[in-house]
Order: sequence, then structure tokens, then C-alpha cells
Amino acid sequence: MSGDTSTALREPVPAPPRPRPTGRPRPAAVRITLGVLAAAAYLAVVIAGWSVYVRVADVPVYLLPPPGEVWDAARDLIGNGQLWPNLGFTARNIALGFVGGTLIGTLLGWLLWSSRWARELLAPYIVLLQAAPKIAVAPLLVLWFGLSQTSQLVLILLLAFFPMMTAMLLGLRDVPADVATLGRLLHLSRWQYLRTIQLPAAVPALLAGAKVAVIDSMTGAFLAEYLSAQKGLGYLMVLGNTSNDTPLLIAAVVITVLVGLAGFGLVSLAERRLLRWNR
Amino acid sequence: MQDHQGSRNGGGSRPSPAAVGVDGGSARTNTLVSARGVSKTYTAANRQPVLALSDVDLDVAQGEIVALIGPSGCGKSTLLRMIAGLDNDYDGELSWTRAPRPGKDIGFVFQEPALLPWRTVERNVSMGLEAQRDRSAEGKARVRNLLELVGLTEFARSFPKELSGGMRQRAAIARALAYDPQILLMDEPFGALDAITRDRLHDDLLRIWEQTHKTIVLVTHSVEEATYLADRVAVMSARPGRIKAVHQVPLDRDRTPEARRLPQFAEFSGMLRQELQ
Repeated sequence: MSGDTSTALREPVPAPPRPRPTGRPRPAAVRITLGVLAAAAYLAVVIAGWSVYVRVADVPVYLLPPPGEVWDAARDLIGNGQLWPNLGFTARNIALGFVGGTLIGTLLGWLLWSSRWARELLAPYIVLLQAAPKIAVAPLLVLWFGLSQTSQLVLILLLAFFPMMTAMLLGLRDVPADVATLGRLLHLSRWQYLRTIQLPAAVPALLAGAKVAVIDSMTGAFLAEYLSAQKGLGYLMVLGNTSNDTPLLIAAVVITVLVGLAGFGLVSLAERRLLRWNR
Repeated sequence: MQDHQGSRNGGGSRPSPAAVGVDGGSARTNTLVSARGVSKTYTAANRQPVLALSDVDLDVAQGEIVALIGPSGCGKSTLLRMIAGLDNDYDGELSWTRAPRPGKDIGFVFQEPALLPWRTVERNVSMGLEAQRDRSAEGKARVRNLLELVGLTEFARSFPKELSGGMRQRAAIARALAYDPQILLMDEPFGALDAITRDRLHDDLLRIWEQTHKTIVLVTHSVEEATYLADRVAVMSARPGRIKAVHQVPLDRDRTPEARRLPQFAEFSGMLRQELQ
């Protein structure tokens, strides 16, 4: 599944070559080029199938518009200046929520790991909180925090921190016993130990968590906008839906997917950089 | 209870446990650390108290290499961890001539290299200095010197993954020495290596000792390793873990691979093997 998304990631941005760490061997470049070509071929097949189906089966536009109309809707969005403010709003929410969720999740994970008290006191309720469907929690948040950005951010944080917390707990368990002993022998302070041993050891797990968290942040952002916002990509979807403007709706969905893939791609890029020692 | 035996002056003539370590008749009489009546009891999973170490007396002199040898479960690693300050839950007394400063005086080598895979060899080796925020030129020079001593200068910027097992263990030894500790404690440091690599690392360790004259306590299960490396060998027995005897190795300090072929070598290691049974 993740393979699918990562190849699909390259389809929106064929033009600018992805920055590559220096000194990588040529086969990698060839591999990337092949990946991009394969993704483009995929995209072409999907679009072709879509437009043939719409034409042959004579699907009405309000059910499924042909690709061309979706494309036009997207261009209109850019043309009439609606896209960038809405995209920017959503992207900012996702970024804030993701960064905040990562910080909170990592910190909570460390706290649960380092204190048995915290673990016994908090862990069951955190899981309970996660088990509650977010779509049900969202209206409550609106009720509590109003139709503000606060309620949106709280929802995103609520979604994003959990995978990071779980990842941190897993990552901290990955510190080998001997390395932990080394930390004691070198008399590392708690902070030094966290910084020089625990965090780097947890990085692989944290990155895996971040891939989930970035997608969750996106889900949270759209959910929040869907429910309450007057702005953002989620709002564009609502607009397309309520005004029976199906091309707009689909265009908004496609842009949303692109945003998600971009976030996922950024995390993957970070992974390449941070895990260089592991190659 | 225990028969301590310095094979040069004959342990039998000195029945007092305090005599251990002052034996050997050599000039190495300045004790660095001594254990007196050290015992440890822990509670096993079935709630039965188990005597892991019983009344251990051992002196380690400045600059000497002492091997702790014994069957598994004899508590040799436990004793090493006590000396390292990792296990403070014991009876008896462990006294130092100069108390080890936290984080500065214990160099420890594990059976596995336990390097940090995300750090280069150089940065792994300088971990201890970094922990002490030691950015001195001497520290850096020592790291360079140690890397050279263990033959890893060219791999200073490599990641542990790119090294062989023997090279990793060399890096681990360099790391343990980089902050110039008082004592080097090694817990079966060559146990996971193949025979050829192990022999090479033995010579590396002797070379390091030549240069640094570090006090080394080495836990091992190999009688040949103990004979080749140590000045004195403490033979331990299991259940309860105690020191059966302490022997002076009848070889010169200047040891080369040829020493392994000397009759004394075979004789001594044979004697150790016998004692382990």
C-alpha cells in the first residue's frame, strides 16, 4: 500500500527533479526515473480509463464528470484566486497539527516510558481516547472551542499524537541493554541520554510513526474543515458538494490527495536523510 | 572456605584472605581496588534466594591484568559489574585507593560492541569525552591515537555497519579508553569473535596495554585467553560463585604469539582447565 502511494507521489511533480543526497550512485537515479515513468504511465491509464468510461457509459456530469472538466475546475480554482488561500490554510493547519502532534506524542511516549506512574495513570485513558471515533468527537470540540481554529487544531493533534507516542514507545524499547548500560557508565544526564542515545535510537520508529501521523493530520484537518470551517480544502469540498458542482468536488479531492502525498513525501525525504547510516 | 593461592610464594603459607593480591612477589603492590567478603544474594523467579557470589576477596593492583575465569553462572560478570558500579546491591566491601569519578574512571567493553549505529567510528569512540563536555586537545589526540592503535584510522568516518565484527570490537575498546579511565573492565570481550580475529585482538589488547599500562579486569571463559593476556588469573566456581584460587601466570609480560607454544603456557592453561572441572 505504501508502495502505491510513494510511486503515486511522483505523479504530481514530474518537472522539478527531487533533491538527491550528493554522491549517490547512478543506479539510484535510474531507479527514480523509472519510478516516475511508471507513475506517469499509471496516471495515464487511470485517466484514459476514466474518460473512456464516462463517454461510453454516458455518465451524467453530476455523478462523474470527465477528467477534462475536473481539470477545468482545478484551473478555475487557480484562476479565480480561490485555491491558494484555501490550500495555504489547510496546509498550515496540517503542518501545525503534525508538528504539535509529533512533539506531544514524542514527549508523552518518553514520559510513559520513563515513569511507571505516568504509564499506569495515563495509558488506559489515552487508548480509550483513541478508541473514540474522531468523527463523533469533532462536533464536541466545535461545541467546546467554537468554530475556531482552536477546535480544528485540537482535532488534528488528537489524531496525530497517537502514532507518534506509540512509535516513541517502540523506539525506546529498541535501545539495546548494553547501550543503556553504557549510558550509565558514562554517567549521562537524563537529557544527555535522551539526546545522544534514546532519540537517535528511536528515529527509525519515529519516522514510521510520522508517516502515519502526517496522513492522520491531513484527515483531521479535512474533518475539521468539513464540519466547521469557512476556509480550506475541506471547505471547497463542502462547497462543491452543496452547490452540486461535482467537478469542483473532485478537483478538491484530487488536490487533497496531492497535499497528503506531498506530506508523505516530505517524511520519506527526511527518512532518507536521517537514516543514512542504515543504508 | 577459600583457598587463595599465589603460585609463586605459595598461597598455603598465608592463610589470611588479605594476602591475595599482595602475592606474586612482584613490584605491583599498589592496589587499585580490592573486594573484601563480597557476597550477593538475589531472589530467583521462584522466590527462592540464590547466593550468586559468596565471600569474594580479590585485589587488583595498578597496571595489572587480572582475568576472572569460571563456568557460566559463577558470578564473574556480576563481580565485574560491581566493580563498574553498575550493581551496588551486595554485602561486603569494595574499596578503591582512589574512588572512581562518575563517568570518567570506568572503561567497559561488552561482549557485543554496542556501538551507536548512527554515529561514525570516531564519534562513537569520543562518546565519553562528549558526555563530559571535554573538548580538549588531549582528548582529541587520545582519540586519534587510540584509533591508530587499533588500526581504525582509515575507518574513522565509517559507520559501524561498514565494519567487520573484529573492527567493531576494536572500536568498542577504543571507546572505553578514550576518556582515559583508571580501569578497563571487559566482559567476555572476544567471546563473539572467530578464532583468528580473537587472536589478533589479543595482541591488540597487549599492545594497548604496552602503551597505556591500564589496569584491566577481564572476564572470560577461555583458559588460553586468560593465560595469554593476564598477569593473574582468578578461578571461580559456581553455585555459590566464589573464588577458588588466584594464580600468577608464569609468563613474561612481553608476550608474543610464540608464547602460546611455550610449555609453560600449555602447562598453566592445562592446570586452569583442570581446576575448572
